[in-house]
Amino acid sequence: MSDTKGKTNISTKQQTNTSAGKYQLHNQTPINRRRFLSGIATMTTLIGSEIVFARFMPLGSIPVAFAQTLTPFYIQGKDSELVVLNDRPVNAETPAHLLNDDVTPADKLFVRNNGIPPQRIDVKSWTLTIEGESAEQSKTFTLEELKQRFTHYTYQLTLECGGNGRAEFSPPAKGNQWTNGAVGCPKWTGVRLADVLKDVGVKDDAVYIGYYGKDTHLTGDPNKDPISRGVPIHKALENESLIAWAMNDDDLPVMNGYPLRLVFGGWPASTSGKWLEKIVIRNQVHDGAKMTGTAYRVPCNAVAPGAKVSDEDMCIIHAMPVKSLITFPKSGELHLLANKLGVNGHAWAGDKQVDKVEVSMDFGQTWQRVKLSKALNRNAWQHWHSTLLFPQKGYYEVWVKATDSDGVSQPMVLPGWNPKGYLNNACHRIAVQVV
Amino acid sequence: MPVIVSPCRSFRVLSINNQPMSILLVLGLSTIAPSIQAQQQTIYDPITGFVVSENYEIVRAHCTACHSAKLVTQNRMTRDNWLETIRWMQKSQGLWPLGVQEQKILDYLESHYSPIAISRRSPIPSHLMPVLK
Repeated sequence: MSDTKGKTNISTKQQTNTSAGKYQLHNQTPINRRRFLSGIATMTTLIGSEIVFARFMPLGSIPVAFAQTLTPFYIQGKDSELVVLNDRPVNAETPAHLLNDDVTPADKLFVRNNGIPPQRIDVKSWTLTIEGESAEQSKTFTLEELKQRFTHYTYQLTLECGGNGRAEFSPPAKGNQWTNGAVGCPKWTGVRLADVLKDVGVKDDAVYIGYYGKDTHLTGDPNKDPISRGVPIHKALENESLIAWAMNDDDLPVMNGYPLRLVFGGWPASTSGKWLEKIVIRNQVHDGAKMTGTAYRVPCNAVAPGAKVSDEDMCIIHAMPVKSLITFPKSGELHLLANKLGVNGHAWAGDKQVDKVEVSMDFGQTWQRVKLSKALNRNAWQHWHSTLLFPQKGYYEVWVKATDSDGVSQPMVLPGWNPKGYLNNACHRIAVQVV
Repeated sequence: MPVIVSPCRSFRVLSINNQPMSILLVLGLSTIAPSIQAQQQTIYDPITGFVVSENYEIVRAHCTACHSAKLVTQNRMTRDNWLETIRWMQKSQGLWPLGVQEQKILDYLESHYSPIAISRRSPIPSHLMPVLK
């Protein structure tokens, strides 16, 4: 589609009158909670320095000074080197060098929760209900029925948070300050959403599907959904769109939606509902929590950095843009001049494929094309590798830039600023000191 | 508020005599309203352009003795970089020892003339930079 080439992949402009108020709850960081607990305004300075600290500290290693107000924080089933951005709700990202595996291990997939995960999970009684205006009927399946009745499929699918890279936006955008690590590409097993929807019956006027999960709102209010998003019907019916119960041949990790979730590779991960218990087939764009207002939306027309944008000028994000990571070596490497440096990583491009990956070691002045693998399946990331020989000692940065099948590549500076800090696909950079 | 327009030379004399504090006597320091006020509505000193806030008169006294306030107000630096600049001025430009005033000056500079993080791309974060042994 050459007419959309290079444009942000977003929905067409649509009216909404729902406020974005709920999104504020995202920002209930541990800092706010401690401030509340301590109730001492003079703590501000102290806390200010703590934010800087905590961001780069391994889990569990809490400064002595704060030991009385912080419980060491571990996430069940996750690598202790994940960087926790928020502990209520839990949000943690994976440092780039820990994403080196071709298939992301379960303990290294980021966690992005909007609410509180279900406390008690009874797999035997777990059900999934399909209903909605555009469903021919309302039908409920047990987990066992889903596994018995439909063909199983396994795909490697890239999940990336829409806000991955938000930390770089300037002026800053509010929300969890993801750097590079809200992305991963594990192997998922489940049934095709399309098979289940067709079994229930999809009316001709179907426009969208929306999900509901068993997680609860941060306030504990049972009448509020923490998040209820979805995708247009065309994405829902694609072969790779799964209702999954397994990651890398094991049960889903609790924090990634055990026992059942949706997986839409290449789209903002918020569309892939976790702890899945209901899917609605809608005859309109789904209007659940965080579908409206400014959540997971960008300006329909590009704006200058820092501009104010009204809700009705914000459009829903569809497929994620082309992007890549350097997962080896870790940034900050000291490297001997005489040796070659092997570098590698991954590249992905939403619903498209990556055609080309290039690296630069002279701040983008020259680029060299590197070896790139084919995707295992659609919506899976691809792997690239190269070998670099540095001309002389000094400080280098290795930059990586991927180009998708429409010829669209990653920017070297920040892409279009947007109020909520989504879709930062600026090229990843690592620092190397050649000695 | 008295505005110092004395020639730089006279202050150099003071510094040579190791009497930097006497500048403050010349100024006649008055109590400045807490900076909370300045956060609500920034007030600028009409003569120098400095943000009127706690410690601003100390800064004005020390910094505009030899150079324009504009050399300060057009710059934005971290606290460490401001200190580095002070040390450079002391080493090569005849700036006198600032004594207990130094921390107050740095507090002021850090509060009002820190880097503004507006950029199209920032450097790689320090925790990902090489550490040379």
